[in-house]
Amino acid sequence: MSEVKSFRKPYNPPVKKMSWWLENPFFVLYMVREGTAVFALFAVLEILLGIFCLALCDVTPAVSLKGIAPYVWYLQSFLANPVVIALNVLVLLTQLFHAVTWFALMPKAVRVFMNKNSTELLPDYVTKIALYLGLIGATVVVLAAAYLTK
Amino acid sequence: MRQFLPTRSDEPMYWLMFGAGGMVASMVLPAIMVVLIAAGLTADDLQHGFLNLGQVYAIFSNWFLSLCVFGVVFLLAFYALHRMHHSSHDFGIHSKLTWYIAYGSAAAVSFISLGLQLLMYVKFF
Repeated sequence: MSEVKSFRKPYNPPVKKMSWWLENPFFVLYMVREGTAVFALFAVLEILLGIFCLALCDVTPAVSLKGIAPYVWYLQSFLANPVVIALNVLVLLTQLFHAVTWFALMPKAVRVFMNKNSTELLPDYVTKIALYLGLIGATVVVLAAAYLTK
Repeated sequence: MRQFLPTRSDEPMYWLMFGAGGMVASMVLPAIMVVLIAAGLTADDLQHGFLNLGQVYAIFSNWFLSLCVFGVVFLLAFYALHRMHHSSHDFGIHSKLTWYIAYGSAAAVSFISLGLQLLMYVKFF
């Protein structure tokens, strides 16, 4: 937290009911976009659980089924659980929705100039195409690496 | 008098991590989720399934790939909790407490991940 003394006196309108955002489709979309962060947090905790289970494994002096039991539990009882698979599919869908909205706002958030001597901006679609190409490229690289080294 | 000295806000750091984490969430996370779903579906095959033991050892024995995994965890944790922290205003919570909870948890997740990865590096390789 910064040490700056704030002279801001923000007006915080009272929130009378928690479901105010259900009344306008625009706000529903906004809340769904904010809600994708919860699913991203689930993904983080899932990866962290995997790292934790792997760190619990014992491979000395040799790899045994007893030694790697924590990681086998993570694979076969956690990741293979139908509820977790369904949640993972939900996370995938919400993150794709987040990607679409994130790429749509990027040209508004970051201004890319045509060259340094002009104030003309790069067209929005160029930035968006580059971002979608980034998504496709990263997906291809990760999936190819996961498939080829398995 | 001290309070009028020009001091800088620390907000840009969180916004930087939020922006980077948002990029990770939209570019890399879909692929990671596909891999995790595939790992769940092929979990019975311990030798050749997705994310089998040899594969994850290959990831975490390589310091660069291990750092990549740490980067994903760290940035996503800060991104998700920053967004939830700021969404709490929409539900009428203007307490400073959400600041401590959000960034504290994100820092905890990051340090636990880094610590466990270092532990694995020392223990296995």
